[in-house]
Amino acid sequence: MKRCYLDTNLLLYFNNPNSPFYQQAGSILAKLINNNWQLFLSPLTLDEYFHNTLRFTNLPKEKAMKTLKKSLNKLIKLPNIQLINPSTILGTHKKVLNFMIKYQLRSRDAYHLLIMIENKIKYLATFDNDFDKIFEKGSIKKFI
Amino acid sequence: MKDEVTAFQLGSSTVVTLPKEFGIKPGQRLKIKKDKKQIILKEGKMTEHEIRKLLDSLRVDLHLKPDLTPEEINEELDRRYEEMLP
Repeated sequence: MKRCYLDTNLLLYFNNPNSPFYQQAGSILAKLINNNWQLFLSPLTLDEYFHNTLRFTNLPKEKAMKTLKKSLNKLIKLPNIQLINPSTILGTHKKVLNFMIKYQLRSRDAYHLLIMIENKIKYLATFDNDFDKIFEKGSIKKFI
Repeated sequence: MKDEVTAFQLGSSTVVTLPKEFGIKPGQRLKIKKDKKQIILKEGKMTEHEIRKLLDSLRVDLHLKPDLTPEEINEELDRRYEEMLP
């Protein structure tokens, strides 16, 4: 079963019907499901998803929290979805700093990369260009 | 391989654990059918229409600004980090 990590922006656009990326986000997920891919989320992705939703929604805070809860309950029903973390071995986390230097990544993007590598995930579904250097190297591929 | 499984209660759900050898992954969806005394699980592939229908049922309108770009999402997360600095 092929493995793909879902980026925060994909989740946000999937739930943003007025976005120009809405259709594409749905098509990416449909393609992944159709080909029976194993999908992955991390607590880091969810943290970014929660934060950006609360920051960019026009709903009042209480309503936004309820909507977010509802959305999380639905996201975890995506077929073949699994929540993953990096290893708890402290030494492994040194790699984050190496990734930051090597690929000029922000620390949280370097953490996403660590999570993917540690969990042997070769594909990332994203709308973000920050991973282009990694895609160029080919160790992680962009899911199109 | 075990030829018997036991159902147990987990919260409000009744859970049946399947032997690992079946290769069922967490989150995997299976078709289920009851036929007299048999319960049949089928690894059927969903049609494109079923997938679309499923995805539509899993969407929630977050009422986000329509022109939100991937760059803005990153900038917002950067801003949050900067706010945390002493």
